[in-house]
Amino acid sequence: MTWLVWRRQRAALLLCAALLGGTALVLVAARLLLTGAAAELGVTACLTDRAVDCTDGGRRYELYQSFRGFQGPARAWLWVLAPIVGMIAGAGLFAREFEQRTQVFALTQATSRTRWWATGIAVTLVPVLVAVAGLTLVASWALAPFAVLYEHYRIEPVDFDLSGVLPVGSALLAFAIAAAAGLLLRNSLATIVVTVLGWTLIFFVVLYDRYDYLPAETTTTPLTDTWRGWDGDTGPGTLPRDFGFLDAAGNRIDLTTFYRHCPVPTDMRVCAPTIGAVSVYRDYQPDSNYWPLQGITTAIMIVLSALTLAAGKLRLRRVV
Amino acid sequence: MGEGVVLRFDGVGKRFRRRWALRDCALELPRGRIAALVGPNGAGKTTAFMLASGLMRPTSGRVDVLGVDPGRSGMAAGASFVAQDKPLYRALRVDEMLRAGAVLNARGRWDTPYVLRLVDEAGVGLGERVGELSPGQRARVALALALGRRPDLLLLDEPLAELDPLARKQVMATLLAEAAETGTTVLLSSHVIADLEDSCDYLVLLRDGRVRLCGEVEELLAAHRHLTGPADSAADPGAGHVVHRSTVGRQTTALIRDTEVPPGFRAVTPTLDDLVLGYLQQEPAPTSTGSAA
Repeated sequence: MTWLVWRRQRAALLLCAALLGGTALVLVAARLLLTGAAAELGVTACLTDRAVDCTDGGRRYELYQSFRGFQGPARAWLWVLAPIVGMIAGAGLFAREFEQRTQVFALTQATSRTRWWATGIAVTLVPVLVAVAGLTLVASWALAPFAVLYEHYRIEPVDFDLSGVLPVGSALLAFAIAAAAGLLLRNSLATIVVTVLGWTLIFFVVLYDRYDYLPAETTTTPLTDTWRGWDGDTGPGTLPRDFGFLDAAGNRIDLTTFYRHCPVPTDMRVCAPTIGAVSVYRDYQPDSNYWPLQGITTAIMIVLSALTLAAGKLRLRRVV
Repeated sequence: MGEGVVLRFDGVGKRFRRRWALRDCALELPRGRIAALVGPNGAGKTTAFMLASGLMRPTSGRVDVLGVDPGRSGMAAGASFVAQDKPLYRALRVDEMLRAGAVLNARGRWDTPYVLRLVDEAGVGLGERVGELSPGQRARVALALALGRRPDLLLLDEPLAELDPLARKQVMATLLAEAAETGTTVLLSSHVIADLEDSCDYLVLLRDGRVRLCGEVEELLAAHRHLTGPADSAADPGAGHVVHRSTVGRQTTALIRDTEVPPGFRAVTPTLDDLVLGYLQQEPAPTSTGSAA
């Protein structure tokens, strides 16, 4: 049975392998080029140690500019690659069987519907998820010097989505939608359209809330301290979520009220105390919440994927 | 299930949204028969096969195949099914297709040497791509795969459709030879009565989703008479006995059942073609299952 699924899915799986393998090669080559260029310019430390001051002179800037056109598109491609691979693997799994009516052959042999369904999913999904996990590791290694150079941190959006276990969850969700849609719609084109729309909707809803799955941490700074700016910046490696003012009792002052009294460009240090503000608070997700947030977000995707696959299985039980 | 009955429909109905494809169907297929399932397009033949193979569940009634309810348990272990369009994996080579059959029947009875022999006899190369086979070759491969399960009951939905006369003859010859050798019961559907006339000894006739006729071909033919007589004859065999009657010019022809030949009419035993056509043209259709068995 494993052989038959592999044989049926061979073209799709090889396409996935080509996309993932090709991407991995490009990423490795890009890292080698970047580190080579940095060595030539004598700024290797600027790619490994964030503490090193690399702001002097034009050499770092030259390096920065040279790879600027790569890292943006590369990150965007990685962002969509995982769901694309999941969709390619899942879309043909059942939809093509129904289009060609070969399920009539398969389901009238000595194989139960459940075994046919489960084997198809397992044989296709496991290698895809392993390969996506592998690419994620390669990408983390290959993009590490880029992250230092371009000052990205893993807790930040996009970096968060491209690292850890989230790409695996993303591929799983796309696969599950495609496989279930194939069973429900029995048409490859319709399956692809529904998968793209469904994944986009679900993924963005899940991602939109991804930093709210754990309570943020808060720092408080007295108004008398030096201002650290008005952007709520909480320092490198953290993700600002909210900032504002506290009164003497520690209550948060509504920012709308605050700005009505102290419209920009009022001198805030003078104006803020006039409405009772005594300190500034900043909410943020610390770097230490990276893995818990990864785990929660991915777990949500796993549950949604399981529910989607189960819906397809229920449909298969009723109709062929 | 009674001794010697391999397929039974007991009050079976199947509804698709508002339309009943089958309704109150009752039939029994005894072991060892070569049975023809005939009926016009839309009569419910394919639905009957889908129910018997477990690909669909009946809306009402009960299907029993070799003691198994296929709607619950799936295809009975001792049954095989070939759908009308012979759905095989077109991208696979023939040897891969046979391997697929072996893999999917790893928990059943599968006879690889037998299948290889059948494919070899069909003159189909193992390295040929299934999608590039002629309809006749594809039908032979599909039949070989079905027979490879060493079935007690073989269900064939329009196995001869789309085949040229030579391929039809070859497929039927293979089918009958294997059925005779193995004692397999066969239920096959076809629009072409001539294909069935010399090979089938049992008949199930479906029309408008109901079984109109079911029984041994010889007994059914013996119970009917094909009449020819004057159009102005006052003789009437009785409305309940006339299956179909038509008048062209001065001549009336009729198919009658279980009654005496009225005076003035010439009576002959109908051919299978006459019998089937008579029931297909019958109107209005009675609700009786019309079993003559």
